[in-house]
Amino acid sequence: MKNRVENGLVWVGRTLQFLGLYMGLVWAFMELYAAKSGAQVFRYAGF
Amino acid sequence: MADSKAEQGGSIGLYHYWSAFAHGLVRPYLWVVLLAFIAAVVHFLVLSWYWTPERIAASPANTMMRQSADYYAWLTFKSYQLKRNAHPELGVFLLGASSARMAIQSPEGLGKTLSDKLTAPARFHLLAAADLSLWDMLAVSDYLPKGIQGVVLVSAGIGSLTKSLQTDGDLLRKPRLALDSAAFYREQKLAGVNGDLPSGNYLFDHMDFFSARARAVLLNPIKGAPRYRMHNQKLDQSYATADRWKRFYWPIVEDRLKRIETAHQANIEVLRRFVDNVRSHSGMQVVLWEPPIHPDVVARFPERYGYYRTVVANFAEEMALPLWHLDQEAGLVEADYRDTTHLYGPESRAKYEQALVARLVPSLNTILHSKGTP
Repeated sequence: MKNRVENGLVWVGRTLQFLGLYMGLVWAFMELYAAKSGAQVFRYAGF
Repeated sequence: MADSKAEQGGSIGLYHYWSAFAHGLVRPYLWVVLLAFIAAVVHFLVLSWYWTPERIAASPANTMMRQSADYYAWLTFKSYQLKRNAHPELGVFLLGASSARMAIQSPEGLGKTLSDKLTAPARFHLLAAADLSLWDMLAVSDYLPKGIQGVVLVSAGIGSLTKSLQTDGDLLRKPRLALDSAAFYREQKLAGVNGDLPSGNYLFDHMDFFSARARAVLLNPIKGAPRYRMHNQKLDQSYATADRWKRFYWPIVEDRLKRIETAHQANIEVLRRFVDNVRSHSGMQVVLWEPPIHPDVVARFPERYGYYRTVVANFAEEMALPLWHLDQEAGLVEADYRDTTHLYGPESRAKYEQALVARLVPSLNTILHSKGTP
């Protein structure tokens, strides 16, 4: 029983690892693209 | 003694559980890493399939906004909606920068006032975003609906007429609006600017737009998009301080007015192409609109400001365009200006809207009576 719970928790951890990596990769790609492109997409934004 | 052993056993059990969870979370697991990479690639493929001009036209205008004042995302979506959901009412379209947005209190209210005063329903469309260039306005003009009657007011402000390739070339090279516009691509070509050639895939063609909004792309579908905020209450409740005038506004105005002599010709040509584009595509009447301007600007730079006004007046005459500068008609006084060109708050904007309605009603009536009700 204990082992099954522990195994389950390992997989909960792995699922979060997957979500974090996946979202992080998408986010990082976009941030890197934006930084490399240097487009002034928000020049004077707010006014 | 027995209790303490049980407690010890419990905490050891908890430790095991925690350590199992942490093990799964932190220790790289090959399949998880591989799947994450695959999921990220699939995510982009899905996005590139999902985001089409049709989908944008069908989505709320705030869908891709990064924050409540992301007017570029808002205007992008709004433009696609204009083209798709052409309203049969008389249309008034105001294209401009922040000065246009801050001169209007409520486009919906203005449309209602116009409808009440006319014999036909009318709708007011505010198509404004901070520092919008004439190149951007030309791109938006491709999205003005066809087959309806109305008036297109285009801003011929100091900011619009002083853009140049040297100082603002990036706005042409990497546009802030994500619009597929033949007129805009022509501008790039005319200016010899190497914009990316459109591939036909909306997401990849406008990756600058999307990549600047990573948070919106990922989180807006989960937690909802920010609400569009037309007016910033903080700006509305405070005048620009003397220090801000000195450090920020005077240098900008002075710099722009200095550039007007050299920069206006190229911008006037863009404006000419804008007018031609609207006239040939939509058939609506074009009006040249001068944004509000603080009397101190006029007093401080009489010659340069006079030069700017002459340029605009000459162009209006040459193109047979009505030229509207409504500050005096609106009875604006110094207290109505927050800074050089932005109106202060709802009361100042109400005065301005009244003057605008007084000009629009006869124009729209003429259009209605010369061509019949749309």
